[in-house]
Amino acid sequence: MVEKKTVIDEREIVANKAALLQYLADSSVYKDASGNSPGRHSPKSQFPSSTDFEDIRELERIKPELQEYY
Amino acid sequence: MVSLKEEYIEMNKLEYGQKYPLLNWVSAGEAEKSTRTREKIIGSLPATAQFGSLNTKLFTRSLPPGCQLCARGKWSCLFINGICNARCFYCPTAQPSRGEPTTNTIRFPSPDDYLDYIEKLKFTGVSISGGEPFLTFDRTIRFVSTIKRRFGNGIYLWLYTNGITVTRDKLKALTDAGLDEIRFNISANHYEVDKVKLAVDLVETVTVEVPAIPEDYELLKPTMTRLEEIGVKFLNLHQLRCTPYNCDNLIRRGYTLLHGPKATVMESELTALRLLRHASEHNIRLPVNYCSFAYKNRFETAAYRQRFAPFVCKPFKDITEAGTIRRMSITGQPEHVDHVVKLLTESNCNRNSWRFKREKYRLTLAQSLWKYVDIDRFSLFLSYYIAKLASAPCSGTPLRKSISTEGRHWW
Repeated sequence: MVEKKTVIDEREIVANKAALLQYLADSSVYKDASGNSPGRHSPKSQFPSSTDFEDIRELERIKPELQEYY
Repeated sequence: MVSLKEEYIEMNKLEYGQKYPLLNWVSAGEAEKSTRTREKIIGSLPATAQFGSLNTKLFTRSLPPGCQLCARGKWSCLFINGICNARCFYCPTAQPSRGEPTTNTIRFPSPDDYLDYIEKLKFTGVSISGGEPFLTFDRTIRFVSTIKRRFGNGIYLWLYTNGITVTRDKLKALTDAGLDEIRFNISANHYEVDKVKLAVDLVETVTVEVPAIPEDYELLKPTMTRLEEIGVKFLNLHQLRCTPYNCDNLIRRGYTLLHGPKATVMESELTALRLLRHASEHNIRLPVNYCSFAYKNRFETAAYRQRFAPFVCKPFKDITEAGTIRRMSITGQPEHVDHVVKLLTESNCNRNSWRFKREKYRLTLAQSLWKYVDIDRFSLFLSYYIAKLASAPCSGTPLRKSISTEGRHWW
């Protein structure tokens, strides 16, 4: 069997770098190649307010609440 | 910048092509009105209703054991065949042939290969679905018995059926082989419960799992009471989902569709929530679980990603809660980059946790080392990857923005 990785996003971050990094650090999970259930940090920091990062949020964390109707 | 909402709408347009304008997509006014209705229903739920999985899953009393494993990402669903003897209007895919047992696009003709897969990925729950598992009963029983012989109680095993060809002898054979739970989709057979009743006497846990069909709301209310009376342990309600395969049927029924990663039926969600409220208000002891598409899409996808990501994530990258692999790189003035490299070296940081490409003056660091970087002095680059299983080497399937791909063998 083969494992492949697909790049789904790549970008340069210009604004709010420090705040974004703090948020990202809080949503990292520990690496565990043994397959054991990885622990994760308790997310504490708020997502930077800029909507420019809206899709990054979905790449970082599981979106809460039922789907918005539109 | 395109918002996610706009991105989803474009994805839906792409998926349905010429049929997109024929589908009854929700209007702004309807969306607003139905959102208020949903809030009202949820707000009126008694205290026995519970909210799980970041409020994407609503249920009364308790969840079936298999659903608990699903929420924790510990579950593998094996599609044992690709044929079905029911003709449900909402079926999302054609069921054209027996095919081979498959999960995550990987075929498992032999149960032994599947055992290795379960073991390697440390699943603790397996469900057998289809198609209709009873139509290839010998194959189904072979997988059930092989899995339980190897793992015993280490694997919780359940099976989905429409019930049409269920018999006492077959149920007995499945329980003898170690089946823990059976789930009936009684909507495939006019909500008949005879086979369900048969199973209650033989299988440890019997669950009924149906889509929340708006037209069947009044029928489902007394059915819930009936299921409780005959000893069914759980009722799962799914949200109807539109696919290119079933969309003509959904058009005919006049359902209102919601945009999203996949199109879903608005009235189906409201029906499920109303049934949940009915169960709560009438003190129905049968636990009812609303399995929303939001839950399925987000949690099952994240669980899939998280399960495979550790096998390919290099130490200088990180895995996120959503299961993506994140790479954070910086570039800048050579003296500034050199300073960070010197700092990492002198601090005896794990050499595997960072990578320096001198020709580009690009430094990639694991999150644990970000504290060594004064980010305002550098350009910051973020990349995200998804680990996927494939049955053979290939150049990759881009999911959103295809920039480059890299692959590697892992067993």
